[in-house]
Amino acid sequence: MAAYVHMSFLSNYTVLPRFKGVDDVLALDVSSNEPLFGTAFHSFRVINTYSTNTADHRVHSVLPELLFPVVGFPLLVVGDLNIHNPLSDPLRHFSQREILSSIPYFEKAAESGFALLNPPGEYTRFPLVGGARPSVLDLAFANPALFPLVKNWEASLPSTGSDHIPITITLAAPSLKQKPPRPRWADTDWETLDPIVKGFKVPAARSCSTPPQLGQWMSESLNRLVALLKEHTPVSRLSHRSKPWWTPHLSILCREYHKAARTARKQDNQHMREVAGTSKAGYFKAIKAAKNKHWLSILMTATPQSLWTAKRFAYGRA
Amino acid sequence: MNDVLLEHFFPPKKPFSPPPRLRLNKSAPPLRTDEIASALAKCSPTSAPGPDGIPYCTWTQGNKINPSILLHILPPLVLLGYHPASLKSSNSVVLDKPGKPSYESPSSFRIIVLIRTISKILERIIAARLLAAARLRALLHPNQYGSLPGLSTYDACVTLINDVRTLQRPRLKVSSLFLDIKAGFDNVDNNTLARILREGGRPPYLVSWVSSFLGERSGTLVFQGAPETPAPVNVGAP
Repeated sequence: MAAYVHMSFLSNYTVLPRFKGVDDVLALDVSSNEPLFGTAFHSFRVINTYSTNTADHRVHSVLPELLFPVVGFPLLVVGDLNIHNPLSDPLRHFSQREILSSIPYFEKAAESGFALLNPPGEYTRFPLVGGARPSVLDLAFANPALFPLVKNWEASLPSTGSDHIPITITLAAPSLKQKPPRPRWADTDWETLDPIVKGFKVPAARSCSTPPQLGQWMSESLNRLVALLKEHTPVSRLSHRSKPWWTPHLSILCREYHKAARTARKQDNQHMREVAGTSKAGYFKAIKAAKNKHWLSILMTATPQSLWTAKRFAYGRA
Repeated sequence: MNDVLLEHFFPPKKPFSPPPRLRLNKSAPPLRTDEIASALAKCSPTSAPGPDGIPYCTWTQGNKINPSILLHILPPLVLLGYHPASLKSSNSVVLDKPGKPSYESPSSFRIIVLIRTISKILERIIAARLLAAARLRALLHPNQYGSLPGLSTYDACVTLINDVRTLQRPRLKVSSLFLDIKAGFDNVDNNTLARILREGGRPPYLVSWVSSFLGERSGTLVFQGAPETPAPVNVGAP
């Protein structure tokens, strides 16, 4: 296993390879003096692996415990894991044996909080020999510290001649800009506003003789009026999804589901309808799981005081 | 991607320089309530608003309660022939053109520019005045159908068919040539437009307002992952 780093990258970052004492696993620690991606972390780790089948079909050459540790820094796990699972390739029918050998990896990843970055069903291996089917073998997982930094997973680079396609994973600072809540103009309380608006006076613009003066007069007049209107207009929630149980992973699934549903509506063929259906099922299942997880965390952290709030959530006010 | 789209849709041009001092155009007729009401009536309440987020329905309702607000806010801009830069910020929503084989090129996208609704209301009022001035001076071509109230593509087609049949009756040979100016509104040059308006004998206050409206603009591209930073726009019409 080898890793290539561009020289220009090394002028700003330190890259330290770490070998785990196991064949076919290479970890790279990328560090910088400056905090990375606008976070408090100064380094992140990439684990690259090539996990192959063994004589015992239930176990692959690299064990899941080695790949998905619980760590407090950003960790990206990538590699040819040689496993097949409906989570990465929802439209294919797999044998019981294939599913059984992949379950320990996906279960361990979920248990450690890792999210799968591959878009479901996007093939990463195209066999060079005829007859064999393409498959999703090259998987990428991000742990909770790294997941918000993942901007894109893309397989658009030209082929290198290998049966595996090159994949680009882009990391970037997460958008921290929070938009202010929007006024719900359709629900403005015009009844209360009526006498106020009737009495609103616009100051005269007599002294405006230059463009900046006119601009300032306009801004002040408009700001006064808009502030008045906003006072009597309710605001929307920060987001349609401002729910305590919502996760960034659900945002991605939501986007994927709506994209698939749109394509299915436009193309109107059986294949795309199946993709949309699978995507929808996965999205709703993930919502249910996120709600359950949040509910459990409420119960786990409940104090004698907050227990009554939990009871109210479960049984209502009665 | 943001820079490539900006370069494609809003190529850099010589920026507009506002006059150092504003001159009151005493010849400009005062703004009337019916002009404002007529402009508001043409605005769809469901149209997407600009960067300030205020929809047309808010202005319509406010104007019903107190018509003097817009009647006092808008006239100074018309009389002084100047549209402040603060009213010319816009959101440019990037939409992909359907059915393109690749979305690598900026030409695979189209842009919808959303300006502030109050700017749009005044733009409609000025457009109505420009149209009245053009009609008064008989500047409109008899075959002009676009952007005129009461006329549409249907009228253009009926006229074309009528002309063709009239010529075919005495067994004359008729040919039609159709021309399309690609991205005409996207490449409107402010100085050229001002010169054409002046030469057409439009009132000076309208010419200076139109020049000011098209200059000193700024736009923010809106698409998933966009940095959403405003960039100067000195070409085209919003």
